[in-house]
Amino acid sequence: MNSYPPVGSLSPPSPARPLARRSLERLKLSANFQPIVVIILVMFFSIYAGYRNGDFWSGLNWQLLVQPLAEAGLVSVGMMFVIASGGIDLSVGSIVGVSAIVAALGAHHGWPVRGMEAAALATGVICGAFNGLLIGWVRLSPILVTLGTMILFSGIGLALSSGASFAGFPDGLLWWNDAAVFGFPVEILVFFVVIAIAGILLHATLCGQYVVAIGSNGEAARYSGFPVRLTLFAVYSLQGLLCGAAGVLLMARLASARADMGQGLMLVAITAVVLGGAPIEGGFASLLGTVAGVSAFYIMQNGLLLLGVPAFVQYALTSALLLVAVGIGNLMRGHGEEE
Amino acid sequence: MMRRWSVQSVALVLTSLLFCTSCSRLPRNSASLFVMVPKLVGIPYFNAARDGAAVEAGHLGLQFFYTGPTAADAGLQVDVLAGLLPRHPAVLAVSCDDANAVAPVLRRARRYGIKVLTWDSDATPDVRDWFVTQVEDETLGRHVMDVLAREMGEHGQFAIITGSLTASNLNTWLYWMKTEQQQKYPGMHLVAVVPGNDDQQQSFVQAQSLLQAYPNLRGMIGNSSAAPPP
Repeated sequence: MNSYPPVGSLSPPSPARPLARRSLERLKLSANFQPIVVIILVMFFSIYAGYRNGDFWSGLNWQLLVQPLAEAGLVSVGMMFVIASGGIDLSVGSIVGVSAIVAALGAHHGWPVRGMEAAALATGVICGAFNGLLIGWVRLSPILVTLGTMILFSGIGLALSSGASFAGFPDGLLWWNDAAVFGFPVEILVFFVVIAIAGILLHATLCGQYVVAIGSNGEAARYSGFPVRLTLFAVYSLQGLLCGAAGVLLMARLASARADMGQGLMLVAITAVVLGGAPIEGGFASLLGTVAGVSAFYIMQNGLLLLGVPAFVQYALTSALLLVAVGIGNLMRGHGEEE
Repeated sequence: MMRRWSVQSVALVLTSLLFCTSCSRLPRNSASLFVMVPKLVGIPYFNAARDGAAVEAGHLGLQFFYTGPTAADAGLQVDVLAGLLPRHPAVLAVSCDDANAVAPVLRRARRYGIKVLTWDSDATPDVRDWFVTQVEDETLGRHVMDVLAREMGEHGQFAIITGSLTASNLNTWLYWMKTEQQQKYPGMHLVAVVPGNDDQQQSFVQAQSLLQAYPNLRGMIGNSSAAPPP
């Protein structure tokens, strides 16, 4: 008898098989399989939407489309780290709102633009660090903590602003929305920079390895002497920082600040991460998947709007596409394992 | 490791292709397209407005299109408006969730030659061509307060269930209600302003909690179309 258990799908493919088939099987097993299914489906959808409505491929449409995408993208990248660490952050929308309100209050006291931006980022980091303290050191469950802080932070935002919306910001702040480089809005360039930094953090630093290790087995990571508490603290603080940045971009795009401004972002961010192939229980992060997930969401919404699909049906169709993408990914992968 | 990077770079090339091909065609001008955007779709008040506008658009020979966010959220509304700009409608008619938040996107619409009309709830005046109001904010707020005062005999506790705490037209009405009460009805006492978020179920729950919290409550104002019982 063979003393080793059959390793099945993990064994290297035999050289007798044709190259195309081999690479397809390798692809099925790779971490990027799920996002590639999403990207292919969205590309088919985009071709169809462009065929039905020429406006879909207009430069103007894409310039307008990528701005909300960039804001949600920042939050999604933060959420990717949080979910990889085995947690979840439900408070992101509230952090975005309270950061914007603090910056807006600064504007009303005549702070300079850089001061407002710094205030928003600092507020985000403080909120995130508060989550991180409760989750890392007090060791409360992430869903419990962030459910509480979701209401706490939005309450603080509402109290600071008395529910009002602030406007009349200096042009320096609105620059984030108006400026473009070679037709690319600055917001999407910010997102590209964040993607690059996140990629380095995830793939080339110990920090990224700690996050994934904690997510796959927190106890093992603890006994291995990994700085579990500090890593969790850093992960939630980073999420807070990104929420603060999203708050600044959102303020610039809406030329106003309200406490309830980031409300929809939490679901979009979680959807993007999961759609990108990351299990919700943690231990895995795919940057490509997260970016593909959040882009898919906004491209679908925009395309359906331009096709004249009624608002309620838009949501149904978007989520149907998401389910199909996840379904195809899982079925094909499962099939590959059986062979 | 090599394999993963190659897959990623292929995907990166594909997405950048998506961006490059995006600047090819200019938006068409839809000279007869009339687009109407409510604060949110699916509540009776806006449905009634939609039906009326659709009939009138038919009479005028305009192509009518009605769409909006599914929740009363300024950010979602701006996303919808931004998505509509590339279609270049002749007229964009908006009930603004937040006068300030929609201003940049409406200003942009006017720059592209789209006529901007606000209805029900105004934007900042410099970004729209016309505003169609059902009633002056001050008249509405003061009148609602007068009616409640008459029903309550001008004394006792009352509460207000509003839409969302950040809706600019509702907050203006609230302001005039409070002003009217302070000026004319010193015997009345406002105990709470709670949000129903333009959701009937939530408004119902808020009303129940108000009755529990304030047993002496003698009156309630529903300050959004989803707040009073249907």
